[in-house]
Order: sequence, then structure tokens, then C-alpha cells
Amino acid sequence: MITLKHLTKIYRTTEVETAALRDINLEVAVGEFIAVMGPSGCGKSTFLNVVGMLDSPTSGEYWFGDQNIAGRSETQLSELRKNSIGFVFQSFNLIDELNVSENVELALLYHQDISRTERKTRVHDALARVKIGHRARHMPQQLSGGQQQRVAIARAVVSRPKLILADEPTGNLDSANGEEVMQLLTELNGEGTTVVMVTHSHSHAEYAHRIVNLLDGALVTESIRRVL
Amino acid sequence: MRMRTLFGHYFVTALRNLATHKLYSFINIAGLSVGLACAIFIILFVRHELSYDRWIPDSSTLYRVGVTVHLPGRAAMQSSQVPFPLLRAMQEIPEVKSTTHVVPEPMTATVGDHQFSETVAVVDPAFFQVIKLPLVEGDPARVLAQPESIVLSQSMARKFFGAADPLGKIVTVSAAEGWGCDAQDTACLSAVHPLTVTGVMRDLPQNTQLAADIILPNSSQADELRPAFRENAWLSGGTYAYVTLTPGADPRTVLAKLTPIVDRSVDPKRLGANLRGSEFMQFHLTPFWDIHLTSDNDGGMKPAGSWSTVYGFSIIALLIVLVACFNFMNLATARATLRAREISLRKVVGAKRRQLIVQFLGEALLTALISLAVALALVEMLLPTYDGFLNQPIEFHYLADWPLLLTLVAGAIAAGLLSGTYPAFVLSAFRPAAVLKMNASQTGSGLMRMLLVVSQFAVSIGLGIAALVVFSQITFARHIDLGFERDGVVIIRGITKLAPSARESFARALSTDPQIAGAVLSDAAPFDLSNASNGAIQIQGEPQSFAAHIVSIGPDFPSLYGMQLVAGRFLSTAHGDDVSGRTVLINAEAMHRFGHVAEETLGRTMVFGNGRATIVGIVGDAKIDGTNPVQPTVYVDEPDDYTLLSVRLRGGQIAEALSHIDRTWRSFMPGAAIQRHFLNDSFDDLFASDEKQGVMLGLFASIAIFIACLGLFGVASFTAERRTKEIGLRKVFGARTRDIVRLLLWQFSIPVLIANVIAWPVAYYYLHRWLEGYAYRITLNPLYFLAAGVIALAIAWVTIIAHAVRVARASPIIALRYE
Repeated sequence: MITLKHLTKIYRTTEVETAALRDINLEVAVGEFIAVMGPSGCGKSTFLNVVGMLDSPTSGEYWFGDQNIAGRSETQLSELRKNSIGFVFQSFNLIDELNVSENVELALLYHQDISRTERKTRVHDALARVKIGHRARHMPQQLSGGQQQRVAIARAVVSRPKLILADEPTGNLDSANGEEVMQLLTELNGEGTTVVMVTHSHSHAEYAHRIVNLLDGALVTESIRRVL
Repeated sequence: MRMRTLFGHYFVTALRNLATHKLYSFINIAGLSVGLACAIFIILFVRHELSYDRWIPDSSTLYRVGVTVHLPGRAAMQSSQVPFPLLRAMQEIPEVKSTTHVVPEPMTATVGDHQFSETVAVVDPAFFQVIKLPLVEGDPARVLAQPESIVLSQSMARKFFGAADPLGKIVTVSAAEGWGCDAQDTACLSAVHPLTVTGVMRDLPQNTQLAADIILPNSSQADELRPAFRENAWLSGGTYAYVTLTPGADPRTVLAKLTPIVDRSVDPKRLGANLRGSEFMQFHLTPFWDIHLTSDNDGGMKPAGSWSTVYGFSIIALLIVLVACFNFMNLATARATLRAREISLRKVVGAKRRQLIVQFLGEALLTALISLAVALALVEMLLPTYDGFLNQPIEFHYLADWPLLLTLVAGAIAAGLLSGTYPAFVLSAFRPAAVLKMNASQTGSGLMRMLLVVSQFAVSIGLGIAALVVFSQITFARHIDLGFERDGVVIIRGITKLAPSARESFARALSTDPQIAGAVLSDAAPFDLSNASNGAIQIQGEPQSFAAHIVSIGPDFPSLYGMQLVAGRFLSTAHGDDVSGRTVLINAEAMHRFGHVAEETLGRTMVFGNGRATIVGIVGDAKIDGTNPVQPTVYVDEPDDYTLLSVRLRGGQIAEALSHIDRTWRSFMPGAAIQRHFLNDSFDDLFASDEKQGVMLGLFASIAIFIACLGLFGVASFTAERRTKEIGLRKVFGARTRDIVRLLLWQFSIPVLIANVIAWPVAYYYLHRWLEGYAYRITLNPLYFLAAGVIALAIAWVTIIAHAVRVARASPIIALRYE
């Protein structure tokens, strides 16, 4: 699904040049669950931003399926992202002014080809999937951390993406809720969704098929945990 | 359908944002609604000013004839009243389709046992066919056909006859001043004329240059003007004259054809002007619809407006709305971090930048439309007060004025788009990657925000300086040394109805009252020189000749008015020559124009009009022309010319003094209502228009600074929260509370100080030009500018000090846990 060849990302200011990613070569197969680990500042979030098409590489190739991402305009990337990728963040990033149902529906609003009826159906199904349907009319401030992250996962999957990118999804949760979230991601992966997850937690990384380690922007080791 | 869903989502999100952040929503809506309300008031005023006379049918080809008179040694004088014979002369010109005239004449109207002092419009019988004022009853072609007919307005008909039908009823009129009669003709002076009501006219609205509640034809015996005067008096202005031109006629052609007629009819040499008639009197045609805004200071029937006022206030309306829009921009971008996460999320799930721009523009539009609704409510509540202040019935009916309502909605939409454009582009540019992990964001250019605050305060300071200068000029003009004492003087008109001997008797009868210090007859009074003549004066044997006011006064006139005697003596009844017009006083200005000092002037013979007189005294320059420059003036005793009486009250028992005056008048003139007013009222009228402008400027300056401070309050509040960590660190490293307060106050003072640099030169330029229109004026003292700047700074400090102190006092431990 994802092919990265000699991918490099350099941040430049007038005084400093920082190589956040250096010569990354990686392939992610369809349906694979990848965990990305490494110390703080090693480039994990940058890696996720590039893979999620939120940021562009400085050099190298990035193939998403059979599409070369390099040189694409923001509008084209936005289309690809909208149709193919779902995001889960450490700090949930729900919109405080929208209720649970509306937060999940947000991911479908910018799709021209989804009717109102289908949108409502998908939202309902997504909320049921993460077992938060009974809180559909609640506002985010009324939910616990674990519940908010479940809503965020529902938002990530409602558009039926091929890929889910999760940036430390359990970082702000206690162990019980964290386990719950990892179960959800594993189930989604089991249904065929590719998952790339950044995490500090070794125990949560064990849910993945493969763990890749980054250090100072470079991919240093990979280890297989489960067979795909 | 999907677009409708998206817009529905935007609408719901916008409403919830407004409800969640109540303080900032209030600041935005309050600022914008106050700004829009101001703009609406000004638009209503401008619309009213532009609407004058356009409602009169078939008036698009109607013109008023005016004249510019060039007297030697004096600035050209504009007048909206022209000589009577002019109209008959214009009828000879083929391009003139029809003519009519209006002469306002004071009269006493008697209905039953009631007497009313009214101004009657004396017109020619074809008046209603040329100026098609709507008649409720009567045929325009015939309503003035009978000489002894009269047309009343609806309100005047109610005043005279109550609810009864006025048609066919009798109104008896008599001249209030009797200047159409010979002084000794008591039969003429006391004549009364019964007139039959033949028509009722709809009350004239405020937006017309015409003032007429009672109209009678000049064929009536009640008309004071004698036919000979109407036919021959080319050198006396006397009537408002209107002409209708044939379709397609060029006014310049008409005026060109008038020139030879004027040249052969007018002899300016009688007034000492060595000019052709058409050079001495330059006539012009002003389109009827343009008269209200182009005829300032030329003696129209009603006070005129001016284009400069219309333009000036229109610009102020625009500036105030801009100040409010800048508020919105500033607050929206300053608070952008609060929306950063939402914006980034939307981008992550696929929103394009243009979709986000539409969303934020929509929010701005929603705020603008809510503000418009609040603004309209404010206008509704304050309109009666506004009407009272302007003394004009300005109305706004939502349904009837739907074009204006649509314009206001369009204006609010424009304001919303203007306000929302910059924030929309800033907010939609957020990079989701940077925001979602690190919670950092761009918030738009701090320079742009500072520029917006600078602009707001520059407008406020500019308006503030203007208000200070206008009020200072008015105060200065009000307290200027007029060269005479104006307090406690009552002017009585209409004494021309009395025979000359009776006039003197009346003056003596008044003076017997202990509350009355003195009474003196004259043909003019300060601020009312309409009956004084103008003519060329010259010292015998010298070539220097120039135009001067020639005022006929009783000998006690200078002492009653407290005028200064510079040299020589006042006129006196002890000197026979004084009361026969063979001696005169001149003012110091006339002496200077002659090029002499007092000793060289006293005793000289002066030539003026058809006579000669000896100069026996020189008086100080009394500003009897009001705020206009002092003109050379000659004071001579010509009892036959007396038209009014000046009465000085002792003060204290004013009501008793006035009662005595009214009783004495009734005993001399039982059939005529008294016409009297305080001289100070005339003085106040000189400043009424400027005072109104000053109040409005002060009000708008206050509103502009209020709106600017609303925005400053919001930005300061938000900025203070954002700097909590920085301030905590400063305190850890030794800063005291007052150091922090000083830091924050200084930061917000910089834009205000920069605003002064912009506002001062602009204000100086326009105010300098405005002041040049006054003969007696203040200088533009730097203190006005400094005061406005200091006041603006003080108001800004008061606005933000609460935030500054609160943040400065916060514990550094709490601040450092902020992250």
C-alpha cells in the first residue's frame, strides 16, 4: 500500500537546517499493522505527517498504492487524504462546538458523493462500532478521555479509509482505556484496514505485525511481531 | 443539496461559536451594531437632505433665480431674492415657459376674536400651476384667481377653524409692518382685508425649500408691495423668483438673453459702482432640486444644507463602520489559536482551503446580519431623539422604505465580507501538521493587527480633534467682543404700522416702565440689516469711494447698545442738525478705509446717496453683521426710515417687562399682533448650525473611540491570557507587579501614539480649511491635538488596565503550570 524510497524531510530556517527524516526506505503492505517507535525528537510525528500527506517530503519517493504523491497540489492531496486515510490523535482533537454525532459526521461532510441518508447511516454504524452510540448527542466535554478517543476512532473510520494513521492514540489514556483502544484498532486491522501507529508503549506496539524503530530521522531496525 | 448541508453545518457551527464565546461575541456584535446604527442615522440624514423638493410634481425643469451683487469695495454678495422687474423681463425670453414668485410678508391674521401673527406667502395667481404643491381642496388653475382669496395649509386651517370646513370662510389680514404705506397714511396703515378661503393645501413636509402655510395672490389689496415697486425697483432685492424653462432649453442661453435687458434696466452708478448692469448684478439659475444643498448663506426661505455637510458626514459614517470592521478582523485573528485545532481537523478530513474561507466568511456575515438587526433596533429606539436634535422629521418605515432596507442589508453584507476576508484567509492558511501535534499556529501578522488598531485610533483621534476645534471656535465666536452689549435687548418689529409721531410716543410709553432702561428707533438692529441700505460713500473732495451700510438710528442708539465712542460725539436731540440727517457717525472701519485718523475725519463732509452730511463722531466697530467681517457703516438719523424698536430691559423682572411691552403695543395697535424677539435669540441662531455639527462630531468621535476600545479590550484580554507563561517567568526573575503593568500598558500605547502621528496632519489640513471660512477664528493651537491624543491614550489605558493588573498579579507558579 505504501512505498517510501529514500524519503528525506529537511526543515530549514535562515539559521538552522534540521533533517527530520533521512533516507527512509519502507514498504507497508495492505492490511498490515505497523508500529513506529523511537525516542522523542527522532522524527516519528514527521514520518506520520508525511505518510498522511499533511506534509511533503524534501526528496525521495512516496507511492500510495500506485500513485506517486510527489509534486501533487494541496487540493489533490486533500482529495486523496479524504478518501483514503483516517487519523487518530493523542489529544483526540474533537471539536468542542459539535456533539459526538456531528464530530463523526464531519469526516463525511466534504464528500460530494455521499447522500444525507447514507451519511447518517454511516455515522450511526461507526458509533455503534466503537460502542459510543448512546452518547451521540453529548458534547465532547461531557465524555471521558477513553470515550473521546473512541469517538475519534469512529470519525477516522466513518469514511471507510484504506489506511488509519494513529499518533500515540493511547498517550493520554489510562491502561484500561488504552487497551480498549488497541483492541479497536486491532479489530479494524483485522477487517482489512492498514494501520500505522506511532507509540512510546512497547506493550501496545506488540499488537502490530511489525515494529520499526527510528533514531535521529533514520529507520534503524525493524522487527516482525506477527505474521500478516 | 450537499452544498445546502454544508452551509447548514457552517450555520450551526457559527451560532454555537457565538454562544460559546459570549464575551467576544458581545464585543463583535456591540461594536458592529453601534457602527452600523451610526451609519444608518447618517444615511437617513443624507437621504433627507438629498430628497428636498424632488417630491413636487413636474419640478425637474424648474429653476430659482438668484443674484450675485458686486458692490465696490466689498466682497460679492449672494442673494436668493431678486428684483421684482426681473420676472417680467424674463417673460420676454422664448426659452422661459412660465414664471412665478413668492414674497414672504409678515401679517396679522384675524379669525373671529383671535389674532395670529403669521408670515404669509404672497404669490402671483399662477403659482400653483408653476410650483405644483398638492391641494387637498381647490383647483390649482383657479384657486388664486380671485384677488381676495386665500389658501391655507391643513394645519393652518385647523388652527383657524378647528375641525370645521374652511372653504368659503373669511380670514381678515392686515399688514404687520406697513412698509407698503406712506408713513402718514393712517388709513393704509390700519387697513384690514377680508379674504375668502378658496383652497386648502397639504402641509408642506420638512424637505422643501419653501415655507408657506398661508398663500394669497399679489392681486389682493392685502399685498404690501405697491405695483410701482414691483415694476421699477431694479436695485432692491425683493422676491423669490422661479422660472420653468421649455424642454431642452439651456439655462446659459436664458442668462445670455437676460444680459442686455439687465444692462439697459440697471444703473449701478447710483450706488457708486462703475459697472454695467449685468456686471453689477449677475443673475444665475439654480435647478430647483439643487437649491437646498447649494444655497448656503444667501437668505433662502429656510436654512439651507450643504454638500460639504453631506459629504463630510457620509465619510464619517464610512469611517465608523470601518473602525467596527477592523475590530472584527483584529479579534478574529488574535483569537485564531482557539480555532486552530478545528481548522486543522477540517483540513485533515478533506476540507479545501476555499471551503474554509467560505465557512469563515459565512460566520462574519452572520455576525454582520445579527449586528444589523441590533442596529435597526437601536435606530428605532433613538430616532425620536435624533429627530428632536436635528429638528427635522427623519423617518424610516421598513416596508415603505424597502429599497433603503435592502441597501442596508447589502451594506451589512459588505461590512461582513470586509471584516471576514482577512481572518478567513489567515485562519484557512493554518497547517494542520504544525497545529495538531505541537498546538502551535500562525495567528496572522501582528503587524497587520497593530495597523488595524492604529487605524481605529487615528479615526477616533481625528474626530476628537475636530470636535474640540469646532467647540472652541463656537465658544470663541460666542464670547468675542461684539463692540456692543447684546444681553437684555428686545427687538420689536412692525412699528411701521404706526405714524412717525406715534412711533416716538410708543417708544416713550415703553420707557416709562421701571423695568425698561431705554427704547430707541432704527431701521436696523444687530444681526438684522435687511432694511438698512447700502450705498457708496465718499469724503467730499477725495477720490476714495466704497460701499457702506447706511443705518438710520435714533440718537440714543449707540448708548443703548453700549457702543464705544472713538472720537467726536454721539448724535443728540440737542443738535438740530443731528435729527435732520445733516450729521452722521461713521465706524472706525470706514475711517480706516478713508485712510485718515480721527482728527482728520471729524468735521469733514461725507457724500452718500443723494445727500451730504458732516461727520461728527466715530464709533467703534460694532459687529452688527454677526460673524461676518465688519463693514464700513454710516449712522444717520432719518426718522422716516425707522422700521423697528430696540428695547433694553433692566433685568430681573423680565416677565413684567414683557407684559408691559405687550400691553403698550395693544394700546397703540389693537388690531395687530406684536412681533418681538430677544436679540440674543438672533445671536444664538448664528451658531445653531455649527453647534449641531459640533455636537454630532463629538458624538461620532465618542462612538468611534468606544468601538476602538471595545476591540482593544478584547485583544488585550486575549493577549494577556496568551502571555501568562511569559509573565510568570518575568516575575520569577524579579519583575514586580508594576513592572508588568507598565510593560503591558506600554505595548498597547504604541499603536495609539502612532495613530496620533497619522491623525494630526490630516486633522490640521481639514480644520485649517474649515476655519478659513470664519472672519473671526481661533488659531489651531497644538494643545487641541495634544489633548485629543492624551484623552485617547488615557481611555485606552483605562480599557486595558484591568486585564494588565489581573495578569500581573497572578502567581508565577500557576502561570508556569499553564503549559
